[in-house]
Amino acid sequence: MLIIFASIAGCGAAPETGQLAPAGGAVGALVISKGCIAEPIGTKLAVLYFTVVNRGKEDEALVAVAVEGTDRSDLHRTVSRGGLAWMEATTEIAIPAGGSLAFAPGGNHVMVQDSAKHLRRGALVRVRLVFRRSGSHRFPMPVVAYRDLDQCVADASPRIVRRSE
Amino acid sequence: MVVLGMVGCRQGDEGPSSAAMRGLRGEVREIADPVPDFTLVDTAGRPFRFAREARGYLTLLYFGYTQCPDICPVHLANLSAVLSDLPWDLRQRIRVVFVTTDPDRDTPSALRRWLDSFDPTFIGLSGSVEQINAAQARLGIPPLVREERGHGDYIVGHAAQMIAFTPDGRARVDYPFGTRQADWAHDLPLLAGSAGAGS
Repeated sequence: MLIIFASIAGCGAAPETGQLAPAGGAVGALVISKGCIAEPIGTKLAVLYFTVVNRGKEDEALVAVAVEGTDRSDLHRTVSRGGLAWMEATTEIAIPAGGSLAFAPGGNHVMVQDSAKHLRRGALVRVRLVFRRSGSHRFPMPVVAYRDLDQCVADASPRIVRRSE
Repeated sequence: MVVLGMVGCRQGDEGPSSAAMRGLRGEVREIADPVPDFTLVDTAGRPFRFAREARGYLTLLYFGYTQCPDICPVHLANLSAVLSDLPWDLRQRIRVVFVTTDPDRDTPSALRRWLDSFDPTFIGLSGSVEQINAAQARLGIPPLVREERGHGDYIVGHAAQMIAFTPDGRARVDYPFGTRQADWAHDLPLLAGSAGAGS
Protein backbone atom coordinates (compact mmCIF):
# COMPACT_ATOMS: atom_id res chain seq x y z
CA MET A 1 0.00 0.00 0.00
CA LEU A 2 1.42 3.31 -0.96
CA ILE A 3 1.61 6.22 1.44
CA ILE A 4 -0.25 8.98 -0.32
CA PHE A 5 -0.50 11.89 2.11
CA ALA A 6 1.79 14.83 1.62
CA SER A 7 2.99 15.54 5.15
CA ILE A 8 4.29 12.64 7.15
CA ALA A 9 6.38 12.28 10.24
CA GLY A 10 9.96 11.22 9.86
CA CYS A 11 9.83 8.96 12.86
CA GLY A 12 8.04 5.83 11.73
CA ALA A 13 4.40 6.87 12.12
CA ALA A 14 3.54 5.10 8.85
CA PRO A 15 4.59 1.60 7.88
CA GLU A 16 7.78 1.43 5.87
CA THR A 17 6.87 0.00 2.52
CA GLY A 18 10.00 0.93 0.62
CA GLN A 19 13.62 -0.01 0.75
CA LEU A 20 16.98 1.61 0.65
CA ALA A 21 17.74 2.70 -2.87
CA PRO A 22 20.80 1.27 -4.59
CA ALA A 23 23.83 3.49 -4.82
CA GLY A 24 23.57 6.28 -7.33
CA GLY A 25 20.08 7.42 -6.35
CA ALA A 26 18.21 5.45 -8.99
CA VAL A 27 15.07 3.45 -8.39
CA GLY A 28 13.57 1.80 -11.41
CA ALA A 29 12.91 4.55 -13.92
CA LEU A 30 13.45 7.32 -11.39
CA VAL A 31 16.84 8.96 -10.99
CA ILE A 32 17.36 11.17 -7.97
CA SER A 33 20.19 13.68 -8.08
CA LYS A 34 21.35 17.03 -6.72
CA GLY A 35 19.91 16.28 -3.30
CA CYS A 36 20.93 18.49 -0.41
CA ILE A 37 19.54 19.97 2.78
CA ALA A 38 20.36 23.52 3.81
CA GLU A 39 21.57 23.85 7.39
CA PRO A 40 19.03 26.09 9.15
CA ILE A 41 20.11 29.59 10.10
CA GLY A 42 18.27 31.13 13.01
CA THR A 43 15.13 29.15 12.39
CA LYS A 44 13.75 25.73 13.13
CA LEU A 45 12.89 25.28 9.46
CA ALA A 46 15.16 23.58 6.96
CA VAL A 47 14.76 23.20 3.24
CA LEU A 48 15.52 20.22 1.09
CA TYR A 49 16.22 20.31 -2.64
CA PHE A 50 16.75 17.57 -5.20
CA THR A 51 15.95 16.60 -8.76
CA VAL A 52 13.96 13.60 -9.96
CA VAL A 53 14.12 12.42 -13.55
CA ASN A 54 11.43 10.04 -14.72
CA ARG A 55 12.89 7.94 -17.47
CA GLY A 56 9.91 5.66 -17.56
CA LYS A 57 6.84 5.55 -19.73
CA GLU A 58 4.37 6.13 -16.91
CA ASP A 59 3.59 9.42 -15.23
CA GLU A 60 4.64 9.61 -11.64
CA ALA A 61 3.99 11.95 -8.70
CA LEU A 62 5.87 12.73 -5.54
CA VAL A 63 3.36 12.64 -2.71
CA ALA A 64 5.40 12.86 0.46
CA VAL A 65 8.88 13.35 1.85
CA ALA A 66 10.29 12.50 5.26
CA VAL A 67 13.67 13.46 6.65
CA GLU A 68 15.23 11.14 9.21
CA GLY A 69 15.08 12.48 12.72
CA THR A 70 12.65 15.30 12.02
CA ASP A 71 9.01 15.68 12.86
CA ARG A 72 7.38 16.66 9.64
CA SER A 73 8.16 17.67 6.09
CA ASP A 74 5.84 19.40 3.65
CA LEU A 75 5.97 19.83 -0.09
CA HIS A 76 6.10 23.52 -0.94
CA ARG A 77 6.49 25.73 -3.91
CA THR A 78 7.43 29.40 -4.04
CA VAL A 79 5.00 31.36 -6.17
CA SER A 80 4.47 34.95 -7.14
CA ARG A 81 1.23 36.61 -6.13
CA GLY A 82 0.67 40.31 -6.55
CA GLY A 83 4.33 40.95 -7.07
CA LEU A 84 5.31 39.20 -3.89
CA ALA A 85 6.88 35.81 -3.32
CA TRP A 86 4.95 33.31 -1.24
CA MET A 87 5.39 29.74 -0.14
CA GLU A 88 2.45 27.45 -0.75
CA ALA A 89 2.02 23.92 0.49
CA THR A 90 0.99 21.31 -2.02
CA THR A 91 -0.12 17.72 -1.67
CA GLU A 92 1.72 16.24 -4.59
CA ILE A 93 3.87 17.24 -7.52
CA ALA A 94 3.72 15.50 -10.86
CA ILE A 95 6.68 14.00 -12.66
CA PRO A 96 5.51 13.21 -16.19
CA ALA A 97 6.87 10.28 -18.08
CA GLY A 98 10.10 11.30 -19.72
CA GLY A 99 10.17 14.46 -17.66
CA SER A 100 11.86 15.74 -14.56
CA LEU A 101 10.99 17.52 -11.36
CA ALA A 102 13.42 19.98 -9.85
CA PHE A 103 13.30 21.08 -6.26
CA ALA A 104 15.44 24.19 -6.33
CA PRO A 105 15.57 27.52 -4.48
CA GLY A 106 12.74 29.80 -5.47
CA GLY A 107 10.63 26.97 -6.81
CA ASN A 108 9.61 23.62 -5.43
CA HIS A 109 11.17 22.75 -2.11
CA VAL A 110 10.59 20.54 0.87
CA MET A 111 10.06 22.38 4.11
CA VAL A 112 11.37 20.44 7.07
CA GLN A 113 9.54 21.52 10.19
CA ASP A 114 10.36 21.77 13.85
CA SER A 115 13.16 19.37 14.67
CA ALA A 116 15.26 20.60 11.77
CA LYS A 117 17.54 22.51 14.13
CA HIS A 118 19.57 19.36 14.77
CA LEU A 119 20.59 19.21 11.10
CA ARG A 120 24.23 20.28 10.87
CA ARG A 121 26.42 20.75 7.82
CA GLY A 122 28.52 17.74 7.01
CA ALA A 123 25.88 15.29 8.15
CA LEU A 124 24.46 12.72 5.79
CA VAL A 125 20.77 12.26 6.39
CA ARG A 126 18.40 9.66 5.04
CA VAL A 127 15.49 11.13 3.17
CA ARG A 128 12.43 9.10 2.29
CA LEU A 129 10.70 10.01 -0.95
CA VAL A 130 7.24 8.60 -1.49
CA PHE A 131 5.98 8.25 -5.03
CA ARG A 132 2.45 7.43 -6.11
CA ARG A 133 3.43 4.55 -8.38
CA SER A 134 6.95 3.65 -7.34
CA GLY A 135 6.44 3.60 -3.62
CA SER A 136 8.69 4.72 -0.82
CA HIS A 137 12.46 4.85 -1.16
CA ARG A 138 15.24 6.30 0.94
CA PHE A 139 18.23 8.25 -0.26
CA PRO A 140 21.16 9.78 1.60
CA MET A 141 21.43 13.53 1.25
CA PRO A 142 24.05 15.83 2.71
CA VAL A 143 23.40 18.81 4.93
CA VAL A 144 25.25 21.79 3.48
CA ALA A 145 25.66 25.48 4.19
CA TYR A 146 23.39 27.78 2.23
CA ARG A 147 26.37 29.11 0.32
CA ASP A 148 27.11 25.62 -0.94
CA LEU A 149 23.62 25.08 -2.31
CA ASP A 150 24.67 26.89 -5.45
CA GLN A 151 26.85 23.94 -6.37
CA CYS A 152 24.29 21.40 -5.30
CA VAL A 153 20.98 22.42 -6.75
CA ALA A 154 19.60 22.49 -10.25
CA ASP A 155 19.25 25.75 -12.07
CA ALA A 156 15.51 25.42 -12.15
CA SER A 157 14.19 28.20 -9.97
CA PRO A 158 11.72 30.40 -11.82
CA ARG A 159 12.22 34.10 -12.18
CA ILE A 160 9.89 35.89 -9.86
CA VAL A 161 7.97 38.77 -11.40
CA ARG A 162 9.49 41.78 -9.72
CA ARG A 163 6.73 44.33 -9.96
CA SER A 164 3.03 44.13 -9.33
CA GLU A 165 1.01 45.30 -12.27
CA MET B 1 37.55 36.96 3.90
CA VAL B 2 35.75 38.95 6.55
CA VAL B 3 35.65 42.68 6.25
CA LEU B 4 35.38 44.10 9.73
CA GLY B 5 34.58 47.63 8.82
CA MET B 6 33.58 49.50 5.79
CA VAL B 7 36.00 52.20 4.75
CA GLY B 8 34.17 55.25 3.53
CA CYS B 9 35.83 54.88 0.20
CA ARG B 10 33.54 56.78 -2.00
CA GLN B 11 34.42 56.28 -5.60
CA GLY B 12 33.40 58.80 -8.18
CA ASP B 13 29.63 59.13 -8.34
CA GLU B 14 29.46 57.53 -11.70
CA GLY B 15 27.34 54.88 -13.30
CA PRO B 16 28.62 51.99 -15.33
CA SER B 17 29.33 52.48 -18.98
CA SER B 18 26.71 51.54 -21.55
CA ALA B 19 28.85 48.65 -22.67
CA ALA B 20 29.04 47.33 -19.13
CA MET B 21 25.28 47.60 -18.70
CA ARG B 22 24.61 45.66 -21.87
CA GLY B 23 26.72 42.79 -20.66
CA LEU B 24 25.06 42.35 -17.29
CA ARG B 25 23.27 39.16 -16.33
CA GLY B 26 20.87 40.94 -14.04
CA GLU B 27 17.72 42.57 -15.36
CA VAL B 28 18.68 46.07 -16.41
CA ARG B 29 15.94 48.61 -15.84
CA GLU B 30 14.77 50.66 -18.75
CA ILE B 31 14.48 53.63 -16.44
CA ALA B 32 17.13 54.06 -13.77
CA ASP B 33 15.08 55.47 -10.93
CA PRO B 34 16.81 57.72 -8.43
CA VAL B 35 17.66 56.20 -5.09
CA PRO B 36 14.64 56.49 -2.79
CA ASP B 37 14.84 58.65 0.28
CA PHE B 38 13.73 56.78 3.33
CA THR B 39 15.09 56.41 6.84
CA LEU B 40 14.93 53.27 8.93
CA VAL B 41 16.88 52.08 11.95
CA ASP B 42 19.89 49.78 11.79
CA THR B 43 20.61 46.92 14.16
CA ALA B 44 22.57 49.20 16.47
CA GLY B 45 19.59 51.50 16.83
CA ARG B 46 20.99 54.25 14.63
CA PRO B 47 18.98 56.00 11.92
CA PHE B 48 20.01 55.00 8.43
CA ARG B 49 19.05 57.37 5.67
CA PHE B 50 19.20 55.23 2.61
CA ALA B 51 19.59 57.93 -0.04
CA ARG B 52 22.58 59.40 1.76
CA GLU B 53 24.22 56.12 2.70
CA ALA B 54 23.85 54.55 -0.72
CA ARG B 55 25.54 57.39 -2.57
CA GLY B 56 29.02 56.52 -3.74
CA TYR B 57 28.61 52.78 -3.29
CA LEU B 58 27.20 49.94 -5.25
CA THR B 59 24.33 49.27 -2.86
CA LEU B 60 22.35 46.06 -3.00
CA LEU B 61 18.97 46.38 -1.31
CA TYR B 62 16.76 43.48 -0.33
CA PHE B 63 13.50 43.15 1.58
CA GLY B 64 13.03 39.86 3.40
CA TYR B 65 12.89 38.22 6.80
CA THR B 66 14.94 35.83 8.87
CA GLN B 67 12.29 33.12 9.17
CA CYS B 68 12.20 32.77 5.40
CA PRO B 69 13.98 29.46 4.71
CA ASP B 70 14.05 29.47 0.93
CA ILE B 71 14.61 32.67 -1.01
CA CYS B 72 16.13 35.02 1.55
CA PRO B 73 19.01 32.95 2.91
CA VAL B 74 19.87 31.60 -0.53
CA HIS B 75 20.03 35.10 -1.99
CA LEU B 76 22.24 36.39 0.81
CA ALA B 77 24.42 33.29 0.92
CA ASN B 78 25.10 33.41 -2.80
CA LEU B 79 25.96 37.08 -2.58
CA SER B 80 28.18 36.73 0.46
CA ALA B 81 30.06 33.83 -1.11
CA VAL B 82 30.98 35.99 -4.08
CA LEU B 83 31.71 39.11 -2.05
CA SER B 84 34.18 37.23 0.09
CA ASP B 85 36.22 36.41 -2.99
CA LEU B 86 36.39 39.91 -4.40
CA PRO B 87 39.57 41.96 -4.22
CA TRP B 88 39.65 44.16 -1.14
CA ASP B 89 39.42 47.48 -2.97
CA LEU B 90 36.43 46.32 -4.97
CA ARG B 91 34.72 44.88 -1.91
CA GLN B 92 34.92 48.25 -0.15
CA ARG B 93 32.77 49.80 -2.84
CA ILE B 94 29.82 47.50 -2.16
CA ARG B 95 27.17 47.68 0.53
CA VAL B 96 24.42 45.19 1.20
CA VAL B 97 21.30 46.48 2.93
CA PHE B 98 18.66 44.09 4.21
CA VAL B 99 15.32 45.51 5.33
CA THR B 100 13.20 43.18 7.37
CA THR B 101 9.60 42.65 6.35
CA ASP B 102 8.93 41.01 9.72
CA PRO B 103 9.76 43.65 12.32
CA ASP B 104 7.85 41.78 15.03
CA ARG B 105 10.08 38.71 15.02
CA ASP B 106 13.21 40.27 13.57
CA THR B 107 14.37 42.17 16.61
CA PRO B 108 17.65 44.06 16.21
CA SER B 109 19.62 41.30 17.90
CA ALA B 110 17.90 38.51 15.95
CA LEU B 111 18.43 40.35 12.70
CA ARG B 112 22.06 41.08 13.53
CA ARG B 113 22.78 37.44 14.43
CA TRP B 114 21.17 36.20 11.23
CA LEU B 115 22.99 38.67 9.00
CA ASP B 116 26.30 37.93 10.74
CA SER B 117 25.96 34.32 9.66
CA PHE B 118 26.34 35.57 6.09
CA ASP B 119 28.58 38.62 6.43
CA PRO B 120 29.05 40.92 9.43
CA THR B 121 29.16 43.95 7.15
CA PHE B 122 25.63 43.39 5.89
CA ILE B 123 23.44 46.23 7.12
CA GLY B 124 20.11 45.34 8.70
CA LEU B 125 17.28 47.83 8.86
CA SER B 126 13.93 47.81 10.52
CA GLY B 127 11.08 50.11 11.46
CA SER B 128 7.36 50.06 11.86
CA VAL B 129 5.27 48.22 9.30
CA GLU B 130 4.13 51.59 8.00
CA GLN B 131 7.69 52.83 7.60
CA ILE B 132 8.79 49.68 5.83
CA ASN B 133 5.80 49.76 3.52
CA ALA B 134 6.52 53.41 2.75
CA ALA B 135 10.08 52.51 1.81
CA GLN B 136 8.86 49.69 -0.40
CA ALA B 137 6.27 51.93 -2.01
CA ARG B 138 9.02 54.28 -3.15
CA LEU B 139 10.44 51.32 -5.05
CA GLY B 140 7.17 50.15 -6.54
CA ILE B 141 7.05 47.15 -4.22
CA PRO B 142 3.62 46.19 -2.86
CA PRO B 143 3.03 46.40 0.89
CA LEU B 144 4.16 43.41 2.87
CA VAL B 145 1.46 40.90 3.66
CA ARG B 146 1.37 38.51 6.56
CA GLU B 147 -0.40 35.17 6.20
CA GLU B 148 -1.26 33.34 9.37
CA ARG B 149 -0.43 29.65 9.46
CA GLY B 150 -1.97 28.83 12.83
CA HIS B 151 -0.51 28.30 16.28
CA GLY B 152 0.88 31.82 16.21
CA ASP B 153 2.98 31.10 13.14
CA TYR B 154 2.87 33.13 9.96
CA ILE B 155 4.74 33.73 6.74
CA VAL B 156 5.35 37.06 5.06
CA GLY B 157 4.94 37.69 1.37
CA HIS B 158 7.78 39.86 0.17
CA ALA B 159 9.57 40.98 -2.94
CA ALA B 160 12.13 38.47 -4.11
CA GLN B 161 14.51 40.64 -6.08
CA MET B 162 17.65 42.37 -4.96
CA ILE B 163 17.89 45.91 -6.29
CA ALA B 164 21.26 47.26 -7.32
CA PHE B 165 21.89 50.98 -6.94
CA THR B 166 25.03 52.14 -8.67
CA PRO B 167 27.35 54.73 -7.05
CA ASP B 168 25.65 57.53 -8.95
CA GLY B 169 22.49 56.90 -6.96
CA ARG B 170 20.38 55.12 -9.54
CA ALA B 171 18.42 51.87 -9.33
CA ARG B 172 19.78 50.24 -12.43
CA VAL B 173 19.53 46.48 -12.13
CA ASP B 174 17.27 43.93 -10.51
CA TYR B 175 18.51 40.53 -9.47
CA PRO B 176 15.50 38.26 -9.22
CA PHE B 177 15.44 35.10 -7.31
CA GLY B 178 17.45 32.49 -9.17
CA THR B 179 20.55 34.64 -9.46
CA ARG B 180 23.47 32.25 -9.11
CA GLN B 181 26.91 32.92 -7.70
CA ALA B 182 28.36 32.97 -11.20
CA ASP B 183 25.94 35.76 -12.08
CA TRP B 184 27.06 37.85 -9.11
CA ALA B 185 30.69 37.15 -9.83
CA HIS B 186 30.17 38.39 -13.35
CA ASP B 187 28.14 41.52 -12.61
CA LEU B 188 29.52 42.93 -9.36
CA PRO B 189 32.88 43.99 -10.76
CA LEU B 190 31.13 45.64 -13.69
CA LEU B 191 28.75 47.55 -11.46
CA ALA B 192 31.12 48.46 -8.65
CA GLY B 193 34.38 48.82 -10.44
CA SER B 194 33.34 50.86 -13.40
CA ALA B 195 34.65 54.23 -14.37
CA GLY B 196 33.31 56.72 -16.79
CA ALA B 197 30.00 58.39 -17.29
CA GLY B 198 26.76 56.59 -16.63
CA SER B 199 24.51 55.60 -19.51
